[in-house]
Amino acid sequence: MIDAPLIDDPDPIEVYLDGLLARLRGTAGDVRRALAESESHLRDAVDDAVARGVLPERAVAEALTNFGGTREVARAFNRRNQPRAARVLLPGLVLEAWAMVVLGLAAVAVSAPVMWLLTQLFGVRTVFGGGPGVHYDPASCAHFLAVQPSAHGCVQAALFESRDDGYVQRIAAAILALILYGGLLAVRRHRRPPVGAPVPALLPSTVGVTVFGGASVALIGYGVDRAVLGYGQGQWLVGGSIALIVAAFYLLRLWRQLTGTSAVPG
Amino acid sequence: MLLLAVLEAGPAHGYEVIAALRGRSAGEFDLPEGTVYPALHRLETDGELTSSWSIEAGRRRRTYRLTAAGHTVLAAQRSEWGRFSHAVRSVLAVSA
Repeated sequence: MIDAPLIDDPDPIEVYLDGLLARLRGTAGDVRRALAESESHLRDAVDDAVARGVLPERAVAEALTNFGGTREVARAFNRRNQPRAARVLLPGLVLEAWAMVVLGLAAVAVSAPVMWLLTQLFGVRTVFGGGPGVHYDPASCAHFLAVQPSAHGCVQAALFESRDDGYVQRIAAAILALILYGGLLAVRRHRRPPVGAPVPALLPSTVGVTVFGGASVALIGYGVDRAVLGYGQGQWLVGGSIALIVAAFYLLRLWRQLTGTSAVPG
Repeated sequence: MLLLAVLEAGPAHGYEVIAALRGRSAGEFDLPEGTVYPALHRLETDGELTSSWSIEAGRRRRTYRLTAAGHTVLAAQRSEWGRFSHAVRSVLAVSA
């Protein structure tokens, strides 16, 4: 009969290394090296003690005690590795943030045709409108009427101006998104291969869900408020809905990462 | 300085370095062994050591070697420590 430990028996050294892994910070390479050297050291220490006649269980306990607690050892490793990790991660973080800005600007740009469609269906006032009783001073009125000569009166001129400003801003967002996207592609193509750890996969997804989800809640909330008043809700509801779609995209990515191949301690 | 002095004798992996440190100091330097590795890594970053993976007895180990810069630093630190310890011994001898 083979006297082998059961597979389910926890190896104290592996339990220790799991605890160390949970506390270690730094690049993937630094963490991997720290774990590999720690395990090699612990196994050597156990082998030496067993060769001296120490019982295996006692040898393991002694090796772990002599090596130091996970908190103490991790602190010593992290003191060196964390600043290096920050330096290595920074370019990747900048590129992830850059990509997120491009996506945000693209989302703003996409809202333009949706708002145009809604304007055709429900009218300018529903999408962009100012409320009844809004008063404009004579100088503003003069400006609105000058830039919107087809309008019948100051209020309508202000409404058209609001609509046109909305489209211009979204077209500007589209142009900026294209420029930034081109820049992003160029940087990614010419960037040297990244050294060390890539940006942790869950980080961009989590930030994306938070930022776009938060924007969606704020925009839709404001849109609902305007809908109660009966005017100008369209642009906010459209913006909120598109932000919600982007947030859903990040949420789906996050879900796939959580349920996919990403390793978690355990 | 102590780690560099141990490695002056020749390349060694972390466990051997720590065992030599404990043995040569007759157990005086009994610090948590796990904290020695970050010190070795720091010396490597500073260019005083170099290291590479090797497989010995079926186990993967990182072997450390003293570089030329490490030899220079060790010589300087040894000289400085010699002056300092000589001064301390002189003071203690007079006091006694």
